[in-house]
Amino acid sequence: MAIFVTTLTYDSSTNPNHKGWAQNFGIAFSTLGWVSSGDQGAINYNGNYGTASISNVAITSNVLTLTFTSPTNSFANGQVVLLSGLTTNTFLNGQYITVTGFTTTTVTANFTHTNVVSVADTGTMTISYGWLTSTGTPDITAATFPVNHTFRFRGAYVAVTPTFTNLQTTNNLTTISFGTAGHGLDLNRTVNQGLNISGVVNASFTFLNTNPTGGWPIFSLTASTIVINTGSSPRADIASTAVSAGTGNPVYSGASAQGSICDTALYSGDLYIAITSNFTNVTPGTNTADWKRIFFDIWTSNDTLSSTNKLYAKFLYGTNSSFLPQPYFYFGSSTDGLGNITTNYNWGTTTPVAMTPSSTATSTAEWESDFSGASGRFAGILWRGYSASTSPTSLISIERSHDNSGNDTDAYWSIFVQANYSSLGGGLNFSQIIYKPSVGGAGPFETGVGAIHTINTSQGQAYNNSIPVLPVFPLAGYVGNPSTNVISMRGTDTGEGALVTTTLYGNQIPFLMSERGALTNFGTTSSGCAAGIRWN
Amino acid sequence: MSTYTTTAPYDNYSFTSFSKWAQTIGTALSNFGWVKDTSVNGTVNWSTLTYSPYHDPTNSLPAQTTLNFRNAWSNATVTYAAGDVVTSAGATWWCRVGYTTSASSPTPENEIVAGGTQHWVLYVFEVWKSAITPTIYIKFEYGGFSSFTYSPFIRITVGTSDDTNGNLGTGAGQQQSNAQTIPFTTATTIEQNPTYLPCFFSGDSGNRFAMLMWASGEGLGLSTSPSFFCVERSINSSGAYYTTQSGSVTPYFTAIWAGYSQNQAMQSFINTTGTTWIKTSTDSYITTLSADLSHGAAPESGSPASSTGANSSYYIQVPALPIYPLVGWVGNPMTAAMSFKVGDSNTSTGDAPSYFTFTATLYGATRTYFAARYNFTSFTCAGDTNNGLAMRYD
Repeated sequence: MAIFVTTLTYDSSTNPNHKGWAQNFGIAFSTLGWVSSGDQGAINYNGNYGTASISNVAITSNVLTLTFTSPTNSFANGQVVLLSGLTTNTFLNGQYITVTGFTTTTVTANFTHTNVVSVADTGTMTISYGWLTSTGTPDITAATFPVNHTFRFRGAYVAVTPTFTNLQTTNNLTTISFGTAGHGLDLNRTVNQGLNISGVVNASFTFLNTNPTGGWPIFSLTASTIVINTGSSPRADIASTAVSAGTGNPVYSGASAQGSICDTALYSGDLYIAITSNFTNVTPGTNTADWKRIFFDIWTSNDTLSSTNKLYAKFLYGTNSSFLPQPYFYFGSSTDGLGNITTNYNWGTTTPVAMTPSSTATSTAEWESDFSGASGRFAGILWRGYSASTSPTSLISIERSHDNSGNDTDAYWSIFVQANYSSLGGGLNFSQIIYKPSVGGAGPFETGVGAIHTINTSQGQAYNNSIPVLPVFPLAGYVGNPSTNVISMRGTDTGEGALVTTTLYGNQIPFLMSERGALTNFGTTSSGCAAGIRWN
Repeated sequence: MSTYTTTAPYDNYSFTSFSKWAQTIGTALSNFGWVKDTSVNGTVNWSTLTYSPYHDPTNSLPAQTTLNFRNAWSNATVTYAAGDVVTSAGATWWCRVGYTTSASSPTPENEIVAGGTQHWVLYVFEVWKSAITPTIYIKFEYGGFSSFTYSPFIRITVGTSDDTNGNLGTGAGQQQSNAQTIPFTTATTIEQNPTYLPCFFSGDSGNRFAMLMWASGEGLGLSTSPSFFCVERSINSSGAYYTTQSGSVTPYFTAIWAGYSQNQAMQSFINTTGTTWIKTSTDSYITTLSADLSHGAAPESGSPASSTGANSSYYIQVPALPIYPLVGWVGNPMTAAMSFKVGDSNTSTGDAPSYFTFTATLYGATRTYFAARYNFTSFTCAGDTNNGLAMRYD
């Protein structure tokens, strides 16, 4: 059990300002004991996208050339690579470089430094993506943005392959060889991706220039070959033939409609999502019609009960056109490892569910935000320090079910969110019960008035030298035992930032109260309310 | 524990109608074991009363004030003040405009025929007491609504004491509620030969009483008719009523009024020292849990609305939503009434049928509740149209 006080910016107009809220939100989760889900493409992904062992280093005219062995994935232009463990050129340790050229054994990158004569070295090159590599800001996640997407993670973006060196067709599978030049495509995530081919001049293979819609589907890959399925244009086997012309353009595809399946790709330290269908050779970041830069985390509970009921919490850190932060929520019981909550119980499956836009973006200003939790619960009051009357102060509570003594059980999770978001099908408050897998799925996703089930009152409640706190009850098909994570009170019965200690389940539990922003409507349509999060 | 069901007209046009509906409440209370406080002067005597509030078509009861019983009306140059109460012609009358009588003054019952200033208004009331102490006092004033006295109106006041004038909350440390009326608002057009509407009561001899009057009147165009009132004593964590202080345990009782146009009120009385009571503010919210729940059909139907838990296999059960008295702390839930999801309107499919019973488990006991929606779809707070009323019915 812990508390975590930090500050969040309320702005997404610059990379530092965006990180100022989104990254700190994730830090709150990790600080309180939640862990990365291990989903690739998530900005808190704790793995890597490929490594290689450094064998040689050279710098000439501020161009770094690294020679490597034992690559676990392709290197591609635009990839960000972390260098570590070098024993000779130790100044490179901890450096992130952006690949500008590659072969199957070398990468080059711009690196400002005095020349280094080619020299043997050791160390590790790690293809990376995370807050340390990101330099961009989220593109607008407006109504047409496919918040309710299914990611199809493709690894590194590749605009065009090097020139083909060999072609062969066997059983309507055509093997494209690239020799030592490599091709850059991710070896693990591009099967079934399309490849548009052009420039082939060898008469036996010019049929490849007539690309089917979506490109020739990739059947398999090695570091130096790509096998495509040419069965849609069947023909007799063609013997292996050396060629010197022809390139491939990987096809990326997505859509802006909710529910779309969208390719995602890493480029220059950021993650992008494709929102139009079947396009090639559009470098991410050069427009927002085909690609949109996005950021997401997936955190999982990590307490003992997670062995039987683990919660996956996905957050997409978006923005609106005024650079107001827009966190979107997805909760469920599993993921596919590629950024998709595979049992996504309604959060975002029909309409995007975002929280908080109100007020105005505040650039670099930082606002106190308060979190508490443990590896099996999480509570936060975001932007509580933003004291203006239009404060975006919002609340999120994630908590397990309790037995009659207040002990955690694995029967269900209850999630409450109170925010100022009222468009895109959302509302002021959201809640949902997610039952233990195999037991009950999820309860209705609630977005309307009364979605947060606390005791309603219009009056101050100080009587007989006593003031009650008003519990919040999960409605799990029955009235569940009350939350220990969040309470409400009448605003007149408490104060902003007050610490209120109350007895729940026979235990003294402190709560941090706020009556700013959306919290003045906590659980009701009328103002004058306050809400508090457990503060231990 | 018992129930009482009867039918009564929603009508004051005739004494027959008026006396029928007004007496049902006393009958129910008497059946349950409550005691009519006959020491209160001017209490209605149904055997001598022959007038209905429509006796004066346009003048209803004044706002509640301290009453002063003056015995039988007299024309012997007696000065009456507003709030004085007299008897005449087998009825009780409330002085609404002070004056001094003379030999030519018409009797209260004849003023309406004589014309001129109407000093008196028919005053039909009674005070009922719980048979269990600390005594709960309930004063029922039966009248007609505003200037449309053909339309029934019940003013209910709850208190911790009374006096022989019929005032509640008299004496040091005693309290009375605000006088709440059901129905709360304007009259509707009603029949002169009315259909009798079902009225439901449940309770015991002194820990609880609940009534749902004129159920289903909306089906006859009587939109104002369904009206609810209940009172219930404090309950311990085992579901037993408690009436005496023990350590930090403080007895209290809570009353709820609800009716037309989603008007509702809730108030509690807290017995702080045994002889001293305090009361909570009148709350226009019912202190229950709001229920969005976002499904248009009860899960039992097997067809929860799409996009809101669509086809997911969530638990096939629905919650009944308790009412928690707020008395300086969160009291244990009431049993006399609770709430449930109605499904956005009184006609939508929700988690319980309208004008039908369902069961719920409270304090480990299965109890029967009678569900009502019309006039009660915001039975938590204004703006919430998802909560219906469920009256304990066992």
